[in-house]
Amino acid sequence: MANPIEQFTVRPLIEINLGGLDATFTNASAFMLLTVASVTMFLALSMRGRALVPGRWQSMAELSYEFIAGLLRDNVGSEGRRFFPFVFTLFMFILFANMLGLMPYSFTITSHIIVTFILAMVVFIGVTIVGILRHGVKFFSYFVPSGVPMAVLPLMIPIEIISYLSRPISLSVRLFANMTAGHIMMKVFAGFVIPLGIFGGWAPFGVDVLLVGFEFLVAFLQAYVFTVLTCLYLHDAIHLH
Amino acid sequence: MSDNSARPDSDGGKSGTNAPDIDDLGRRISALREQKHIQERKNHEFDANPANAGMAQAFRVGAELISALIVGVGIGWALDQWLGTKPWLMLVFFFLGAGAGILNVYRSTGLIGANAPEAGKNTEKGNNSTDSNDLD
Repeated sequence: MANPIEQFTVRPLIEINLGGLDATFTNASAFMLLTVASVTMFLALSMRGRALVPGRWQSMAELSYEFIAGLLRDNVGSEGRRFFPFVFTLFMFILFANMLGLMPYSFTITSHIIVTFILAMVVFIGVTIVGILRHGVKFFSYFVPSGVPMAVLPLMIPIEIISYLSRPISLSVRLFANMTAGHIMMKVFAGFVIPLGIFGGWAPFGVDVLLVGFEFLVAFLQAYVFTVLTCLYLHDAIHLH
Repeated sequence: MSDNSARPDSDGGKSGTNAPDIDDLGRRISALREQKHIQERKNHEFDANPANAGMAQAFRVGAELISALIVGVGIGWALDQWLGTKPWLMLVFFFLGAGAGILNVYRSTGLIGANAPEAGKNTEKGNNSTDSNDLD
């Protein structure tokens, strides 16, 4: 039976050594490049016509633009407009990475915690810098809950700080766990199809068909959740509380 | 002809007095709309998709709980290594991390984000949620 974990192995494609630094081009790097290339192609090619009445591709591009613009407007407010390029890039990158990972024989970059963790850290550090630039020292009042008795404050402040520091971890673990679990589940069921033969094999096959549909939903939903949480963190940094 | 020439004049005068009014109205409308949007996002859960709400919520709540615990224990462990107070700070921060995890879950499930009296009615921890209502 096929090993369900094997699909996550990172394989070197081109060995690159930059003065002792291992910068090998792996299948993960290849799929990141592919993700960026396909997002760019999707947006550039579909908007090439610039029709007043959009065709199918152009409405897909416009739909994704309006989706993220609406998300920012609803969750951050009008100040969120400045962050649109970042949030839109983040959403499209995660969405395309998840979707490309569902193609047979492909590699899912978001099923590696280091990838999702770096994405989450970029959001976390960026949002913290936005908060500090906007509010200066007042930003740290975010960790002091208002309306709490003085006696409880020594307990509440560390809890608030831990809660804040746990954001990048929960953000990255959620995306990583969803993608990994889904892909392992599909592989496990797929592994049963051939061994169970022509009579029994249809049951796991049917389950896999359902799972593929479900995974497309998860791929979109997780990109969406990541983006919404980024928006909520931005909102907190801009408005404090 | 005289009507025509008079119109731009009166129009200009009008817009001159009206401009601040309209600007003010626009500002008020956008402020209210923003408030409404924020209220809506607090009231609604963002992925309240009926099809897989349970699964998604389980993943989310689990991640929130575990991540705060990891951070808490990690900070405690690092401080222990640094200060040489072997098990104690880790124990303290384990509980702080657990507290932060529960706070995270509370926030992410929207029990705190909703308006305070309602949250107080619906849960026995109403006292807790009204306390932390301002944090969100």
